[in-house]
Amino acid sequence: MGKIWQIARKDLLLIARDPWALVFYLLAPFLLTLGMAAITGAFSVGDSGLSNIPLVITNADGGQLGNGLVDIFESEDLDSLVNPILEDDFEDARRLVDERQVRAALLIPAGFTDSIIPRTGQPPSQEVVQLQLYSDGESIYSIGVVRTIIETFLSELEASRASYTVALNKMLIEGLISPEEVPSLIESLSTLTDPGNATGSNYNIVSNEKNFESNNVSYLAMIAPGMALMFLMWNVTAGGVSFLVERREHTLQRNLVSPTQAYQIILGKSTGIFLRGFAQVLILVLTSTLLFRLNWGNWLAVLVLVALSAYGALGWGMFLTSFLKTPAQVSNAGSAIGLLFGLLGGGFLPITTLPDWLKTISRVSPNAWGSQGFNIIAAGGTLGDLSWVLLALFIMGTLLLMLASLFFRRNIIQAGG
Amino acid sequence: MPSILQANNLVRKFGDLLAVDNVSFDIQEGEIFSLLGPNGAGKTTTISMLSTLLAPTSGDARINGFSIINDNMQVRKYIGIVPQEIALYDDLTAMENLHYWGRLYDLGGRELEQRVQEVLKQIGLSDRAKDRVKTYSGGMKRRVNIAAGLLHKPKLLFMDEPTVGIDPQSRRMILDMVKELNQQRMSILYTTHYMEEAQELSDRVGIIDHGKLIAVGTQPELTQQVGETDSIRIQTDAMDDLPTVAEKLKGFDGINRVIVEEGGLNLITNDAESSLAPIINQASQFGAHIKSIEVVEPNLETVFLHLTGRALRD
Repeated sequence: MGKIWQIARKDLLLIARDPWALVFYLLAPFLLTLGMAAITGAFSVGDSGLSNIPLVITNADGGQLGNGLVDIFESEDLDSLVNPILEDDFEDARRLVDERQVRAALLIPAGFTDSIIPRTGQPPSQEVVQLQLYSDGESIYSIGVVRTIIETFLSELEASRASYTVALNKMLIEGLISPEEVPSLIESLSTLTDPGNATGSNYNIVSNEKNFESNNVSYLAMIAPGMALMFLMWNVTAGGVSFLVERREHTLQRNLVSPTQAYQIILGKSTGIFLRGFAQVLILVLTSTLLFRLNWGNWLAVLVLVALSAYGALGWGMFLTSFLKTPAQVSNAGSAIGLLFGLLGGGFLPITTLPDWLKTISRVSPNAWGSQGFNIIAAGGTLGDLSWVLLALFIMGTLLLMLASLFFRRNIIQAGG
Repeated sequence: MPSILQANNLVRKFGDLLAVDNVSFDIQEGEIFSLLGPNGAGKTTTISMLSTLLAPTSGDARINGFSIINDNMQVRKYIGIVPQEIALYDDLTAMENLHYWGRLYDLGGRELEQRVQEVLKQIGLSDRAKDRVKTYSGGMKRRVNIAAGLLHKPKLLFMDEPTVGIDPQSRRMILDMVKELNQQRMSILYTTHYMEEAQELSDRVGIIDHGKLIAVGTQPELTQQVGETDSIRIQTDAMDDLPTVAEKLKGFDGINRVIVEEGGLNLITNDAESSLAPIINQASQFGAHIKSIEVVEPNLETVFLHLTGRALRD
C-alpha cells in the first residue's frame, strides 16, 4: 500500500508542478460551464431554459377550479413554456407519455372543485382528492416546471381560502352575519372556504417522481453534471497518457526494475489519476454550490457518485491507454471519446433530448450513468436510490481496469517498457 | 572469489531479430566487468534481461543466487541500475527524485534521509539538491541518474553507457565515482563503446558484437589473443586514393592487414619498429600524402579489430 501511495503522490506532485496542467484539470470544466451558461443567458436560478414542454391534461373535474387550472396552463403567460393538450381518458394520456410523445400527463380528478368549494346546501367533501402527475421519469426539469405551476396555483388557492376564513369568522363573532348565511355568501362571492375545516387541505399532488424538488431548475443545473463528467473522461485519459510518457522518458522502466510489483505501479498511477478526477468534479460541485447556490442534492450521495463516476471513467481511460502505442494516439482517441461520451452523457444537451436508440448506446459511457445519478440526487434521491447507477459504474470500471491490466502487462510491461 | 552474477546462454529475440545470441559470462564479487561493443551490439538488451526488465527468450542468469526469471523480486533488491537514458522526473527536485526512488527500494525514515544526503554529497550536488532536475546541465542529470541507482547500496550495479553525451569534466567525475564504488566492494557491470573507459576501469572485459559475446578476459588475456601485433595509423590527405594505396601495401613484408579508415589507413604489423620506415617510404611512392603517423600497441580496439575486422566506432 505504501508504494502505491508513493507512486500516486508522485503523480499528484508532478501535476501540481505544472500550473497549466493544474488549471486544465481543476478549473477548466468549471470555467467552460460558466461560459456556456453565460452564452445561453440562462444563468440565474429559476430560469428554466426550457420551452414548449409537451403536457397532456385530463380534466375529469370540469368544475370551476379544474377549468381554472387548465386555463392557467393555456394562458398567454405560459404560452412559450408549456404546450398543453387535452385528453379525456387519463389512460390514453399516460400512454402518450410512455410513447415519449409528451413529457407528462396531469389528471385533475373528479371532485377537485367540490373538495374545496362545497356545493350549496351540502357539507364539504372529506375525501382527499389527488392531482396526479405522470412523467416519463427522465424529463426531470420539465416536470419540475409543470409541478411548480400547479403548486403556485394551489398555494394561491390556499392563501385566498385562509383570508376569507378569517373575514367570515370575524363577521360571525361580531354578529354581522348568521351561520345560516355563510354558504350563500361563499357561493355569491365565489370564495373558497370551509368554516368547519379552515386549516386543513383535502387535496394533494401525487407523482411517479418521488419527493421532487422543483427549485433551482437552471440551465447550469442541467449541464453541469454532464460537463463535469465529460471533463472527467478527458482528465483520466490524459492521466493514462502519463503511462506512455513515463515509458518514453524511461522512468517507467526504472520503476519496473525496482522491487515493486507491476500491479503496484498500475494501481499507484491509477490512484493518482482517480484522485485528480475526483478533485476535479468535486471542485465543480463545490464552486457551483457556493457561487450559484446550485442544489446538487444529498451530499453523501454526491460524493459517492462522483467517486464511482471517476472510477468508471478511470476504467475507460486506462483501457484506451493499455492498447494504444503512443501518447499522441491516446490523446486523440481520448479527445474523440471524451466528446462522444460528453454528448451521450448530457455534457451539451440534456440526455432527454436524445433519441431512444442513442440513449441505449449512451449506457456504455460513465457519463450517462453519472448524469442519471446526478438527476436522481437532484430530485431528492439518496444513496439508496443510486444503487443501480453505482453498481453499473462499479462493474464498468472494474471490467475495464481488468482488461487494461491484461493489455498493460502484454503491451507495456512484458514488452520491456 | 564467488560469483555475484552468472549468465547462462542468454538469448533474446525481437521478432526475427536476434538481439542477444547465447551470451554467457560471470562477474565476481567486487569486480568491474565491462561489456565493450559498438552501438547495437546487444549491450543494453543484455542489461535489460539481467535487470529483469526484459524476459529472456531462453537462458537464465543468477544474481546473488537468485534466478532472473523465477526470483525477479529478490534479484531487484540486490541490483542497482543506471540506465543509459536519464530516467528522472524533470519537474521534481533532485532530492524529491531520490526520496521517491529510495522509497521504491523500501528505504524510509532516517535511513532514507541519510542515504539521500550521502549520495548527494557523493555526486557533488548537495547545494543544488532542491532545484528541479530540469534546470540541471546534462552532466548534472547524469550524476543524479547514477545516484538514484546507489541509494539502497546494491551489491551489483549495472551502468549502461553512463558517460554518453556529457562534458569531459562530468565524465571524469563519473569514472572516478565508479572506481570509488568499486573500492567499497561494489560489483559493477559497465557497458560502453569507449575503449578507453573499458581499459581504465575494468578488471575483465567482455567484447560483444552482433549480439554475440566474442571474447572475455582481462586486458592482457585479450591482447594476447591478438598476438604480438602493433597498429600503425597513417593520416593522409583527403584527396588520396586510399583503396588503391591500401591494395598495394597489402603485399608488403611484415604487414598483416590493411584497413581503410576515414581519412587514413590502419596497418596491422608484427613489428612496427622495424617496418615503420619502409612503410612510410612505400606509402609515399604509392601516392599517399602522409600528414601524421601513430604507432599503437595492442589494446582493446586492436582486439576488436582483430576479432571482427571492424573498428569499434564503425
